[in-house]
Amino acid sequence: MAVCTGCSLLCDDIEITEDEEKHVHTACRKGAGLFLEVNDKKHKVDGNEASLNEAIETAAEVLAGADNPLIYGLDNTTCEAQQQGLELAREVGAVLDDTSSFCHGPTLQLVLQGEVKSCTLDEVRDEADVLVYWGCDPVNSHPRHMSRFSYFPRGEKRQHGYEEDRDAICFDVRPSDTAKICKDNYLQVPPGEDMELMSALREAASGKLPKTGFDKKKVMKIAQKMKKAEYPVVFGGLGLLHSVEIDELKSFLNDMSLRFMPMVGHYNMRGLNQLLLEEVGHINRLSFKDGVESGAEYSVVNQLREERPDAVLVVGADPVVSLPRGGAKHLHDVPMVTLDPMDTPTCRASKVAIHTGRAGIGTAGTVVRMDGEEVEMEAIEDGWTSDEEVLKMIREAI
Amino acid sequence: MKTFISAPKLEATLVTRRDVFQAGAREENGHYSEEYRRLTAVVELSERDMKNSKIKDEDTVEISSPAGKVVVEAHRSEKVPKGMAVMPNGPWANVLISANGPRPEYKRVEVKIKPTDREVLALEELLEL
Repeated sequence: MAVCTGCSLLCDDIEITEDEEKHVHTACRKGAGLFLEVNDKKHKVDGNEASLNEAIETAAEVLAGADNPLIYGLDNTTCEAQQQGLELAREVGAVLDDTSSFCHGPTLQLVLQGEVKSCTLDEVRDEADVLVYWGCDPVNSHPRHMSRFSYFPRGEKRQHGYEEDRDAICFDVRPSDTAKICKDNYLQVPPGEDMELMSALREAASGKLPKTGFDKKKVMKIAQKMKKAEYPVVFGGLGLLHSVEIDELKSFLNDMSLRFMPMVGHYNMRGLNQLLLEEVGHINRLSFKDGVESGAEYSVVNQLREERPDAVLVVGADPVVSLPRGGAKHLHDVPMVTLDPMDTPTCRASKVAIHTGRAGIGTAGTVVRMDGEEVEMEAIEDGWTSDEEVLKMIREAI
Repeated sequence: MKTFISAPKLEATLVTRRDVFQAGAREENGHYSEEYRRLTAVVELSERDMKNSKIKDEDTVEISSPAGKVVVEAHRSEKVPKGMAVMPNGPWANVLISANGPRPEYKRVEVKIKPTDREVLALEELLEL
């Protein structure tokens, strides 16, 4: 069985068979794509094919010669590579940031610092009776979340699964695919109105008729379900995070005795944020230029907007695609070194592109699932070099 | 005398979303594939908004926000409330997202949408690769 790194669920039941062509069983569409992907593994320097050694040497020159290097990403890679990335950041005095800086960072921090109660996905499967999908759409983002862990499966204390033992609730700005599954327990929230919903749910849970523009009867019904639940869990997406004050969310979850899990997308973002918190006391937005500092000025978005970096190392991320276009433009103006299994637009915009193995396909290593569980990955294909090895070689060359 | 506007510009709130088929196309066939573009360079609108602004299913439309302008294909969707425009997250939507705030606002951008004769750009052109 292979482990899929299509998202942070890390499904470990993937079967691959091969006759005239390759077949991927059990995985979702996204996961299947990952295993079917074809890659020529050619490294490039200045757009021309290069040997791994030439690429490493050029990468080392670029990073060693920079006054303000930025190391970005490290979310889609192994824990071992993340450790190498952190050491490299220390050695070259880089700014280090990742995707959590503009997505799930604030909510993941609440979980990592124990400020809200969380749980594992196995506990969700075995015990959860009320599931609240808030500002997220797992049918598309984590396609097997509802079938493997949250709504549909039988669990130790939930032998009757979704038919009798579980209620799925969805709060979203639009009737998403997940909302459709939640049927009458879907409540449409206009963009930016999640704070009002939280206060209406609080009032309703305490038995009062809420003062709100939302459907009062529905809010009362849902709030009672949440209150009476034995093991309620909120899965929070960017839609929630972008619409609430983080302290308000924290007190709402704690006052309502709700467990919380951020719907982290990148397969090892939690691993990086945990590592940085343990080693330097902050989850992201770090500068190692003069000791260790952390702050908003070191966020990738601020750094690129202010055109601070004079060289960039990208590992396991695709900022040319995922950042706002205006924010990504500086990446085209500085020498960039990118490590990625695919020929991404970030690779094409890079001075040096090194094609490394994907964890669970071309590379072995440890990865941390969205709920904090460590998963050991094995390589199922030969001929790849790992991010860890390449980062080590770059460090040695510097 | 008020001039009759035959195709009024639609004003909507843009929300980006994930799409499992789009992500699958990217992983299997790559960013530069026609399938990825077809599933990403898209805006979903409500039937009512499309009718009011004379946009037909699969028309190309120009979407503008304070951050930029982009041409994509319009799709009618019953999963989109009136006044909202939904795009799969990706490079076409990201043209419209501002990088000027404390964090990129992927979930709430005020946009204007109008039919256009211009074509949807290929990814390489869009990103100037």
